[in-house]
Order: sequence, then C-alpha cells, then structure tokens
Amino acid sequence: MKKSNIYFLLGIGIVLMIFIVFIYGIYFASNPRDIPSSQIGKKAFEIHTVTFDGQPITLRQYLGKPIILNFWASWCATCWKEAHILEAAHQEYTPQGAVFIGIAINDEREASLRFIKKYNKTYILAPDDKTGNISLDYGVTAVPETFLIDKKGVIQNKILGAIHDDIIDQFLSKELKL
Amino acid sequence: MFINIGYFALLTSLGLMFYASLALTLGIKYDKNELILSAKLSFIAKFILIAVAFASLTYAFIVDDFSIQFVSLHSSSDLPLFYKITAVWGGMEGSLLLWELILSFFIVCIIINYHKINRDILPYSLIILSLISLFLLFLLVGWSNPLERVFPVPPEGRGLNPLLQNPGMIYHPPSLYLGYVGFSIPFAFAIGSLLRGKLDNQWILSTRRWTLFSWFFLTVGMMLGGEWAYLELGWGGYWAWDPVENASLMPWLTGTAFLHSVIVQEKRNTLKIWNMLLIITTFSLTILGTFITRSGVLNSVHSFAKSNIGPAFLVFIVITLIFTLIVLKTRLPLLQSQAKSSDLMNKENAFLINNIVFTGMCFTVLYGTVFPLLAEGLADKKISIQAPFFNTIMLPMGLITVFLMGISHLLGWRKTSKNMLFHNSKIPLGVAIGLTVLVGILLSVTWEVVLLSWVIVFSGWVILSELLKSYLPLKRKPAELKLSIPKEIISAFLKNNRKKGGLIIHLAIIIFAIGVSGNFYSQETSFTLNLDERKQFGDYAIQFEEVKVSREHNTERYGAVLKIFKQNQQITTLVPVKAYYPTSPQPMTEVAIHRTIPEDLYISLSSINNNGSVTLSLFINPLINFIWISVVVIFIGVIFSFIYTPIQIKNKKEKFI
Amino acid sequence: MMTSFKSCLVIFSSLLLFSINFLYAQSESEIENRVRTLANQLRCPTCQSQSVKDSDAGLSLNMKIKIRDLIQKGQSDAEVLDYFVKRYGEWILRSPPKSGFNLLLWIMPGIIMLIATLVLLRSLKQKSRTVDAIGKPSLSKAEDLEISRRFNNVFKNK
Repeated sequence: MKKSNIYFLLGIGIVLMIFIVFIYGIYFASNPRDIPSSQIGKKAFEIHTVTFDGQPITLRQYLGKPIILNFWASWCATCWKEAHILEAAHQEYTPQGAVFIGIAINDEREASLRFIKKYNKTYILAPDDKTGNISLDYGVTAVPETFLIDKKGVIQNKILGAIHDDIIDQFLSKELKL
Repeated sequence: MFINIGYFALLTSLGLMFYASLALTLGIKYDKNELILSAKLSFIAKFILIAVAFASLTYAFIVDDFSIQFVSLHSSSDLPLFYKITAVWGGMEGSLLLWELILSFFIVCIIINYHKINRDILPYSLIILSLISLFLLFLLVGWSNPLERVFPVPPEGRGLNPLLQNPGMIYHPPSLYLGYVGFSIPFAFAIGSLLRGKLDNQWILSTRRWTLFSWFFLTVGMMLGGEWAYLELGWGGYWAWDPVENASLMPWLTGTAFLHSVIVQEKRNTLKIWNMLLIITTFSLTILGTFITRSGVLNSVHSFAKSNIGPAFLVFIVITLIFTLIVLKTRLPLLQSQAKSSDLMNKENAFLINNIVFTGMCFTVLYGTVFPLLAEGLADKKISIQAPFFNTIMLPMGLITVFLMGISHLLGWRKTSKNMLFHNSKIPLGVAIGLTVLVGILLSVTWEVVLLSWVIVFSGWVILSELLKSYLPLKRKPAELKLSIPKEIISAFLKNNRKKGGLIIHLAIIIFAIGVSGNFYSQETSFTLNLDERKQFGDYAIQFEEVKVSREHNTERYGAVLKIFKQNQQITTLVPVKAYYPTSPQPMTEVAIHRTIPEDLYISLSSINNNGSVTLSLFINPLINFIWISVVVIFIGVIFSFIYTPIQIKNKKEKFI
Repeated sequence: MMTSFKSCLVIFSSLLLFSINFLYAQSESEIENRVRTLANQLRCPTCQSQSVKDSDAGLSLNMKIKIRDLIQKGQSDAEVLDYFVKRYGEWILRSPPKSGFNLLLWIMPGIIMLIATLVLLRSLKQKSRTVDAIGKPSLSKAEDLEISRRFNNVFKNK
C-alpha cells in the first residue's frame, strides 16, 4: 500500500475513533454526575451513634435482619419528598423483621428534630457524629442516599436521590423470604 | 410582530444560503461571473437579515417578552437592563445566533476586502463558508430556535443563571466566539485552495491577519474567562482544567502551532500538508468545543445548559473531517514540498519541535478530557481527571515551549553556525544557570520551580535583548548616532514590525509564565473572626468590623466589612459578599481583592455564622497580576504583527489597483 | 551602553527571582500544609468540578477534618488517600493512580510525542540525504570557518 494511503486511513481511523467515543458518551455512558459506590458487595462499615431519643445503636445488634440505611438532612428538598415513602415502608416491613435507620448528616440537631416531627418519622433516627464519620465511611456523595444491607451485613445496593417504594419492596420481599 | 420578522429573516437567510452555495458551484462550473456576484450579494443580504433577527431577539429580552421560550428561560423582569442584553447569548440558542451573526459579518468583510485580490480562490472558499452557515441556520430555524414561542405564556421568566450575572458576560463569550468563528476563515481558504487546486502560499498570506485576529481573541477570551473565574468562583484560582476550559484551549494550541508553522511554509516552502492538517484540526476543534460545552457529555462547571443538539454538532464535525481528508488526499501530489537542505540546528526545526509540543499538548488535553469515557467504556470504572493530572503532564511541556521560544530567536533559517549559537546563548545560559543554582542552593525549592525559573530567565533574557536590539539604533557609527538619535529611533521603531510583533508577544508569554510561577508561592488559609477580632495572615492583619446588608437590583447582599492592616497601618477595607439571587437557593460568593503588582490579597466569604462571626477563605496570590498584564502586552504585539503586510500581497495589490 | 544595559538586566532578573523566593518561601504550620495538599488531590463529591480543598460544601468540610485527624494519628499521605479510595472508590482521586488501565492515560502523551519526534528525525535525515545526492551539500568546513571568522571580526569591532 502506498504511504499516503496509510496516512489517509490513519486519519479516517482517528476521526472515527473520536466519533465512537463521543457517541458512547452521549448515548451509553452513565450520567457523569452519578458516582457508583465502591462498597457494593462488601461488608458494611460498623456504625456507632446515639439516636435522637438517646439509644446507642450499632449495626451488629441487627445482624440477621435486612437494613435500609438512609442518609438525609433537614435542608435537602429531595429528602422531604421521600420522607413519607420511608415511613410507610417502615410501618409495613419493620413488623416483618426489617430495620430502617436514618442518619442525619451535616444538620443541626434542632432542625433535624423539627423535620422528624413534621413528617411523623418513627423509625430509628440518629445524627451522624460531629465530623461526619458515618457518612464518610459509606462514601456518601449527596443526600439523600440509601444503602440496602442484607442479613449478612453486606451492602447490596446504593440508591442516589429519592428512593422509590418498589425498590424497597423488591429488596425486602426477597430478603425476608429467605 | 418584531419577532415574526426575526424568524422570517432567519428563514430567508436559510434560503439565501441554499442559493449562494448553488450559485457558487454553478458559477464556478460554467465560469459565470454574474452568478458568483449574485452569491456574494446574497451573503451581504444575509448579514443584514441575521442582524435583524439578532435585534429582534434582543428587543424581546429588553421588553420582557416571555412568550419567547428562550427569553422566558434566561431572563426575568427584575434583571438589570445590562444583563437582559447580555442574556441574549446566555444560552445555547442565542449563542448560536451570535455565532451566525459574527460569521456573516466576517464573510461580508472578506467579500469586500478581497474584491480585487484572491479572485480565484474566493468563490471556492465562499462555498465552504456558505455550508458552515447553512449548518448553523438549520439549527437556528429548527432544533434550537431562539425565537420559538411558548404557550401558555409564563407570567415571569425563570431568570438568568447568577453565575452569568457578571460584567464578564459582555466580553468573555463574544471574544471567544470571535476567535472560534475567525478560524473558519483561514479554514475556508485552505479548503478553497485545495478545491481550486491552487496550492501556493496565497491562502496563507491572505489569511495571515485572520489567523492572528482569531488567535488574539481566543487568547483574550480565555484569559478574561480566567479572570472571571478568579472573581466569581472564590477558590483563588483562574484555571481549573475543566472540560469546557479544555475545549477552548485545544483550538488555541493547534491554532498557535498553525501560526508558527505557516511561517515555515512562507519562508521555506515546506510543511504544506501539515499546515492543511493543522487548520482543519483547529476548525474542527472549535466545533468540538461547542459540542463539549453543550452536550453535557462531560462533567463541567459550565454544563448548565444541556441541550439535545450535541449529536448534530458531532455529525457535522465528522462530515467536515472526512470530507476535508478526502479532498486533501486527492490533492496530495500538488502538496509535495521540495526537499531542501536542512541542518538540524535551524529555526525551522525549532518551529517543528514547537509544533510537536503544541499538538502533543492538544492531544494530551483532548485525551485527558475524554479518558473518563474510555475508562468507563473499556474498563468499566469511573475515574476523575482534573487539575493535578493536567498540571503534572502539561508543566514539562510548557517548560519545553518556553525554552524553545527563547532558543528559536537565536537560530537562523536553514543553518545556524555553531559558533554563532554558542556566542549568542552563552550569556543568557550562564545567567540563567547561575541564578538557578543560587536559588536552588539557598532556598529549598522544588525542581519544578528551579526549572521554571531557569527557562523564564533564559528565554526572557534572549527575548528582551533581541527586542532591545531591534529598537536601539545600530552601534556602528557612534559619532553620527548622537546627532540623529530621534530619527534613528523612530525608524527603528517602525521597521521590521513582524519580528517585533513576534518578540513582543513572546515577551508577553514570558510575563504570563512569571504569573503562572506565582502559583508555587501562593499561600492560603481560612479562619473565623468574631466582631472586632483581628487575625494575622502573612504580612496582613484582618479585622472584622460588621456585616453590611444591602439590596441591589434583584439581589440581596450580605457583605463582611474587613479592615486590612499591614505593619499596623490600615491599607484598605475589603468587603467580600454573599449575594442571594431570587432564582437560586445557593448564594453566590463575590470575592474582595486587594491588588498590588507583587501580590493579591484575595478574600472570599465562606459563611456568616449564627453567632455573628464570619468564616473567611484567604489567599495570597503572588505575581498573579502578571497574567493580566500579559494580555495588554499581547495586544501591543498583535498590533505590530498586524501592521506588517507580506511582500507578496503588497505587490499583488499594486497590480490590481 | 550595551554592557551596562546587560548588567542592569542581570540585576533586575536576579532581584526578581530572589524577592519571589524570600517573600513567599516561608513555612506555615506543617500539618495545615499537608491537609491542603491532600485535600487538593481529592474531588468534592457534591460540587464535582472542585477539589475538596476549594469547596465549602458540608461533606468537604468533614473530609478536611478527617484528613487532619488521620495526619495527627500519624498516617502517611498515601494512607490518608487510601482511606478515601477505600470508601469512595478511585473516583475520589483527581489524578488517577498510575496503575492498571490508567497507565494508558499516563504514558500515551509521552508515546505520541516520542513517535512524532522519531518521525520528524527520520524525515529530516531523508531530506538531507536526498539533498546530498543531488549535489547541493550543506556548508563545507572552509565555509563554516569563514563565517565564524567574519562573525568574530564583527564582534571584535564593537
């Protein structure tokens, strides 16, 4: 083949490569703002905190039960939207053996309490510690974020943004059947 | 009513461009001058129509006509008039219209300017320009129509993004667009001369000023963008290697390479294919820049306005590239340059290495910008590529360019005597090495700083002395000199503008590099101050006086009044502000800066706390003002380069007039 | 005149360099510097175009506190970064680690530049060979000497 032909094909090749990369970027790649959790499939970090009503909690005490671990804050608008979803799921599934935990991050205690009262939240609610160790351990990127932890204490999934009830339904019906 | 006229003007322009491309093709094929002339007239008419469309959109913004979707999305009635006008290009659709307006204006300029010369290439180039215009107009009447109506009419607009409510809006985007669009002119001439099969240096000589012009505005646009970020974002820096910033840097890099390599073609008649490739790449990168900005495919501070016309831009780039590559291939035999004797040590090789480094930098920027996509597609993992990566890779390349910039002034065309080179470079080399060793021994600095100061001193020395040599009258006749100094100085001042322009611009780059080197010495801290409390930062003492609340137009502003002391003398009062806009829940920071030539004291207000104290982020940014000074020097240099007319063009003009 | 001018330049540039170094090369608290350097290498999860260092978001503030904590516990820079990578994944690093697939990112620019330089050198060699074959040699030794002789004369006269 002539040298000029090789260069020509090389040029066309580069153009097509750039084209493919961007087509992939537009149509197939995930939203650049969504960050995958690196902890899915791994053992969940232990939590040490005291709930708003003064009960010390750890994850270990719930071993053998599926856990819905939700991070929220009173200043986050999306958390208002999902507040009733979580509470309703709690009413339905806690009697069947699931555990719902809500951790308030970067929030003032009074504001959190107002939020809890306003939305009538009754599941286990606790503040993150002063320097946000729990949220850092879980690699939280924004609120709300929800982790689904199975009976063995392994993180099965992370949901960024408001949670849907069918996600909870699906996870818990599977976990509670076993 | 006015809006309907505007939309009608856009439609008519689309028709005119169809006609123009057709008339030009037929006119060339059947050698009919009247057809070509009519096409030229339709370009002029189109410019007027686009101006009308632009005026109608601006009018809609001024009178708060929220029945126009674009206006309702990017303006609100409480916006100050100034921002209502700049909001015209505050979104995708309006910026496209501005782009088309500038392009139309440029086309009219070349039609009038090249009325007498370039008759052979011009029609071919105009075909290319009419196609670019057609593409933009298609988008403007269809996918992203700035004049589209919305129903029901919203009572109030959504307001302009607070980040865009900055005086920078008047100069930063337009000057970038001037740069972007300007590069389509040399591109059109390059392809025009390929199509025509006339492959001497004419296209390069006639578009030299366009290239310079575009390069200048791209440079200034980016620097003003940097200044804007410096003032608005509150983290003490001006360049973040954000994908959108990278998108504007890429055409600048290849454009700069082009600016240099055309000189080699002009002087030595080589690199013809390379120059074609460079201008094609540069043009494509200007389009790619818009694509990256608007498609939201990459994560960026600028991606506030996602739109669905990304794919259209992508397809346009690919078609352009494949079409031009095919044209280039068919004309390849005409582009072979004659082999000429070359020594390794000469100016053209310095330019070649410069070209390799610049395209290498461009590749790195592009590669680093899209690599997260590759990583996700091929290795299924999400990674971040931000400033630390780019700084690591780009710093050595930047050092090489600054060094080449100095050394190239010591090299001659074709061949440089080694003695000569040694003689010319021994002083700057010695000075630079001496200083650097001294600095390295006396103060513990990192190797980056040592190398950076070394190349800056070396190249700065060479460039300054060359520049002064070109201004000072020759030394030969001291006796005569005394009598006629003013005359000699004046003539020396006016002679050899091209060389001087280049030297001055290079000097500006040195000044810029000094400014960048200030980064290595910057200090920062953050602390909380109670009322009347005073804390020390570097040489400054900062005392918090009060919180001042005020309303300005549509914003509510909370300013922390700070008294700044240096050696117990109050030097100034700074008021960093948190401004609340009605449209955005997050407040905007407005930093306060105490500017002096050696350093900036830069304070941004992080928060006003419940107990009345304020938390501040403070930076001392040494030498940063050299960066803004370099803009002025670049301007002076570009003027010198602009004055120079290539000798071939001069002769041609005389022949025709 | 030229000499005095040159010495002015020397003084000017050395002053410039020295003043920069003396003015700014002062040390702040060691730990705060390390916190800043490390925070600059982490990407803020909330405001993703900024580093943790530059961000005032709640999470970033927590992260900065955590970094300071870990440093005070005597952890090395690598250990601190590792702490965050373990929890957030590689995504958190603003400059990807030089291993595995990422190597493609780090070495490619160098490879491209190397290839370009090699191609350039080869084509230059070819060019000079063709020229010699046609019989238009570059300057001979004698010519070279002549040039440098004249050149030296010019400078002697000055």
